[in-house]
Amino acid sequence: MFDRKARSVNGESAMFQGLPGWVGAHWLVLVVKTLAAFGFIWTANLVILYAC
Amino acid sequence: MPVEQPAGFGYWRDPLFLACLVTYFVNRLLIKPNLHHYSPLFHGHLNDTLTVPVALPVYLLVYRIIGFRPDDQPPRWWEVALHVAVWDVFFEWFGPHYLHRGVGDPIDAVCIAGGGLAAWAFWRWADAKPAYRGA
Repeated sequence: MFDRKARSVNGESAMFQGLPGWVGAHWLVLVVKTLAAFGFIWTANLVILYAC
Repeated sequence: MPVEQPAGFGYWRDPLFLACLVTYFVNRLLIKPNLHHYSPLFHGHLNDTLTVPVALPVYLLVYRIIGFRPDDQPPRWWEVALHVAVWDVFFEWFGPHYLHRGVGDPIDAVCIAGGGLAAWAFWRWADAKPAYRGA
């Protein structure tokens, strides 16, 4: 469904090429994704609680 | 001749999601305003039962976009169970106790879980139907 063009190159995502190495590090991407997921879950739960 | 891949779970295009979403709005906009007495079903339990089939596809779509969901399979049993557990705690304990919103009711928790079980069973049954997968 979602064909991602960014591929892993030497442990780093290709979309971060040209930036400092730590920017595209897998652990940082994972942390950011986890925070995004928790942010979404928290916000969506509040929307359901207050709006429904 | 290339083999056509099945479409997989439809998320916002899932027929069960759409049917339950319509049911929610019919209840909210048409049924509840015209009830003259409190109805446990229409004022409470119906919404709780619709929680999983309406909310879970949206949550899973976001996980898919973020990259936490590796494929477009129908919701797995542990995905349903995990969200039911979180929603039961959030809506029946955290919300009423700390946000002072809603009422903690064990029957509501059972309705959320029952709706989740029914939705999971439906998605599992429907996954075997080629016509449904192509939706």
